[in-house]
Amino acid sequence: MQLAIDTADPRPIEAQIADEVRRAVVLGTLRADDTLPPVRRLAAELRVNPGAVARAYQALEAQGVVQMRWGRGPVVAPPPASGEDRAAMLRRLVDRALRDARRNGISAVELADAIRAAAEDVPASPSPAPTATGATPR
Amino acid sequence: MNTTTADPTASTFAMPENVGLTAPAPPLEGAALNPVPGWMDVLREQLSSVGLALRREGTVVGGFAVLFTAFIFWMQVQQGTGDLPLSPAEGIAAAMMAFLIPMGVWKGEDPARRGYHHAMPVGHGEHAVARAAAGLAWTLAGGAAFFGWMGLLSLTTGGRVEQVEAWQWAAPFAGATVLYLLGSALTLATSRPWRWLGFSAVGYFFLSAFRAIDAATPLSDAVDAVVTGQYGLSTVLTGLVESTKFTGMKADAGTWLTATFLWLAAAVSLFLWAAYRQPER
Amino acid sequence: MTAALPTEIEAAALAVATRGVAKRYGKDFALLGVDLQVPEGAVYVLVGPNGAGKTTTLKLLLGLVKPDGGSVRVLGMDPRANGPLVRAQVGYVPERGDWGYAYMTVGRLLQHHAVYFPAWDWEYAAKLANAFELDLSRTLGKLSKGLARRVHLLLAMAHRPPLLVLDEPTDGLDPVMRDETLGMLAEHVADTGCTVLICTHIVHEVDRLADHLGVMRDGRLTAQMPRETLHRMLRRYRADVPEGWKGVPGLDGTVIRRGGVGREIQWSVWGDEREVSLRLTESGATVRDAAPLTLEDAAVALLSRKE
Repeated sequence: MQLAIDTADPRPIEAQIADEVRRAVVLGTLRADDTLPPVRRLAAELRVNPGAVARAYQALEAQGVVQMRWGRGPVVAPPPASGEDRAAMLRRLVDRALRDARRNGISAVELADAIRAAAEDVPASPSPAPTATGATPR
Repeated sequence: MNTTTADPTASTFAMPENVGLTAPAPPLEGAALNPVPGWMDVLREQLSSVGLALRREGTVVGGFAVLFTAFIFWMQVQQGTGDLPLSPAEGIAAAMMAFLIPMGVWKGEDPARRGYHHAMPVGHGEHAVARAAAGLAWTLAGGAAFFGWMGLLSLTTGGRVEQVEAWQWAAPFAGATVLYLLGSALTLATSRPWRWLGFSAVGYFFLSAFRAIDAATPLSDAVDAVVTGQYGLSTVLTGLVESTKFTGMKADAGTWLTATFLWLAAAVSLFLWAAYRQPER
Repeated sequence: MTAALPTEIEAAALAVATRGVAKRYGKDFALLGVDLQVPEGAVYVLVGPNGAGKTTTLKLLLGLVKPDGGSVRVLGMDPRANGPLVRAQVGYVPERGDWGYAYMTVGRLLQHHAVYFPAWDWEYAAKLANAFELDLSRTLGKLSKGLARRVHLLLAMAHRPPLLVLDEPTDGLDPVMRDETLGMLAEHVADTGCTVLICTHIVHEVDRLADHLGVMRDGRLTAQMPRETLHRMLRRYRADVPEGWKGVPGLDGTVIRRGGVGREIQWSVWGDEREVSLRLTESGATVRDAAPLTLEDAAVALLSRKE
């Protein structure tokens, strides 16, 4: 399972792993009842401290995104847990954008206007397929 | 929500392959420590690896031995006796080489680079002793092989054996042991044994030269006594075989034993001192 | 007032603990009182310029040199009093390239090492040999630097020691093998739960693996802390400053590194983020960003800091 881990990212590694897993769940690449790789394998693949992977899995479990099953390890939980997550992911995306904007001296209002303008410029793209939760993107 | 997590304290539980969480490392006080190697295993392994290390030296020495025996053969034939009796004296030159063998045993590992050997989970001094012992075993085995070879040669020329006391056969081996230990002490103590060897050789040469021109000094007398005196190194090495041949009298076992004992004690002490010296790099 | 960088690590169990360790070579002091603390199960990265004393410290842990002062405890034991037992618990990869016997083949060296470390696992050794692409029949003395290094790593890992002490472990390895090594290391740590102490100049490579950082300079450990603390307390602040800005006197001691372009300052500052931002804002600057640093940037900042 290749996740994008960036050492330059301000988020600590466990947060990045957890975010990537949540992202995959929201996008549907990881479906309910899929098994995540065991800690040692993911740590080896990503060249990452196993403790960070373990903490990421623990966090995901605490948030209900995955469940620990005997003999299988961390398993993606069925909805509606993933549905709530979509809002959290959106919020994180917005926070990142706002932080970037602030760094460049752009206010939140300016950013919002610019997003709306940019969205109108983009030619009509097919809307993403509805996720397993049935929630449709806005 | 149905969650099951691996209980980290369940020590005898065999975790299935793909459980997500690993158990935390057990506290070291409770965990068994990795064992150190057993004595016999270390000795056996040193015997094997030193034998491997000496392979090249062994062929060189073997080649030398062949040349040497050819020379002896030629000499004997020249002197007209036509036969080559087996004698302990033949082992003397070979035994002297025992002084250089430790440099092969500790090949490429002067104190500055003996790191790997000393990083092993064995006490420094004990490990040096084990390695030197392995080298000595190979040296003495080489000596025995050498005499076997000389015996064969002697068989082909009449099969005569020099008339010497039983104990005189031990002389070259005792001498080899003493020289091996001294050589080991030198190799272990300095990073440049060849340099010290060179100094001593030059020094000895000068002292002999002074004596030859009758400018004897107490120092040269002392060195003489140590090397060729009654209890000197040459006594140990030769077992007084030559004196037996010349004077026709039985050699004095007592003298030889005393000399050997003194020299062995000195060599062992020097060696142990060098072996247990803590190397600092 | 200089910022007091943390030099003590709070941990339940320390795999390595030195107290005031000093080491002198002739008249030169290689180490001037080092308090190294490596918690059990940690991946601790020790950085510092050449000659800082890192290699000497590692040798002290193995009992290969004798300290001239202070105490050393490895897994609770004194490496001088208990040398063999301590060394049996450690997988050591030294800085120097020649390790082992040059006249032996790789396979023979493994056998040799296995005798000395009875905890040797041949299956694991085979797996490592495979991953490191080692030809067991080749003579050690004829191997390239990179291949030899991989042999050393195998020797250190195959007996699953509770403590790995690695001095420039990826030195001489090509990028693909370096990546592979880190993967094997991550898996090894996950499998064995061992403690790892790494000295390396290639800091960015171990960024994902390390959870503790130690900075060594001129024979002293100037700072050591868990990553979490580093992440929290050392930040790079980007702020716009007005004309004639006088700086922030109150922060002087805690500014690790100053930089910036034109009227934007980029300061690496040690301290609580909210406090530092407040001070900056109060001084008239407009804080745009307070980002944590990568391990490499943090190490560089801490190392180049003027006392």
